[in-house]
Amino acid sequence: MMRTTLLLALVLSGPVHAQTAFLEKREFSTKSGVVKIKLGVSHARQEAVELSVRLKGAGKDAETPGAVITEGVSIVPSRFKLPPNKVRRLLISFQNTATTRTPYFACVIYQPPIERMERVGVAGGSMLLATESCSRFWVIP
Amino acid sequence: MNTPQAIRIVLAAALLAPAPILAGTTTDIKATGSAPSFCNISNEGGTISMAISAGGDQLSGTGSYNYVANGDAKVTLSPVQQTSPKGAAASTPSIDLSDLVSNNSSGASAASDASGGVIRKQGKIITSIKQDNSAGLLTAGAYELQATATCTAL
Repeated sequence: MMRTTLLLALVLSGPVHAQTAFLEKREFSTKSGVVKIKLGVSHARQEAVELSVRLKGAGKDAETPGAVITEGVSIVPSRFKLPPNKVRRLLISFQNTATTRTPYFACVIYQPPIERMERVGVAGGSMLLATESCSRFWVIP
Repeated sequence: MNTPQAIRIVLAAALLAPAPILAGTTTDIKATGSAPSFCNISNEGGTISMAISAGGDQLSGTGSYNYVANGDAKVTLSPVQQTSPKGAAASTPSIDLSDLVSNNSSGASAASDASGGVIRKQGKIITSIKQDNSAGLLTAGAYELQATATCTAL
């Protein structure tokens, strides 16, 4: 808890409002075919925002998150509204059948609200950039 | 012997005494800790509005991002999803997080180089839709781009 608080203070010390996923360990063991991960999530926007947490496997290499894994995965809670500067703790548990040390990514995503802009007879546009923070961890069989 | 003199003698004896007599209760202080690595990236302005150029050939807009990491990390930008007016002439989207990563593909993601050490970086988000047709014009109407910027603490 102390480490998370200190880290939160560090993150909030500058003009950064992004959501952050904290993992206190980087390697986890499989027990009876199941991996359990404790994750802390925070943000520093001005008001409470809705965040979603998801588990991803590796993409094109071990440094790149790939597809979202949903089968055999439990994330409690996986979607929640979080006030600023609070840490929400959650539990990810999933089946792991890999026989080698395998990378996974715990990710928290913030999707900004969509603002519709009406335009008639003229070209105009908008761009919506969602932001996501992932932490890589390894699972040892 | 008066009292102050007696105190001085006792103090002198204590100071000259072997260490075991002087030693009080001692304890080793040991503090350990480890900072978990993390990164985060934010789009500071929300939805970015894009306006048409004087020549009518492109839409462009700017925003800003913040990127923080305290260890090895990298940023990826997902394929860009574009929504155009019905029947619109061809055009190409682009999203650029300046000095970090850019992507103009609707089918592939783009990644920054992995960084090390501590980073606290602010930069511009430059976004555009450029005409890609023989008339050199964007069809009138509403366009939308969507993408996801992901930072990964390694």
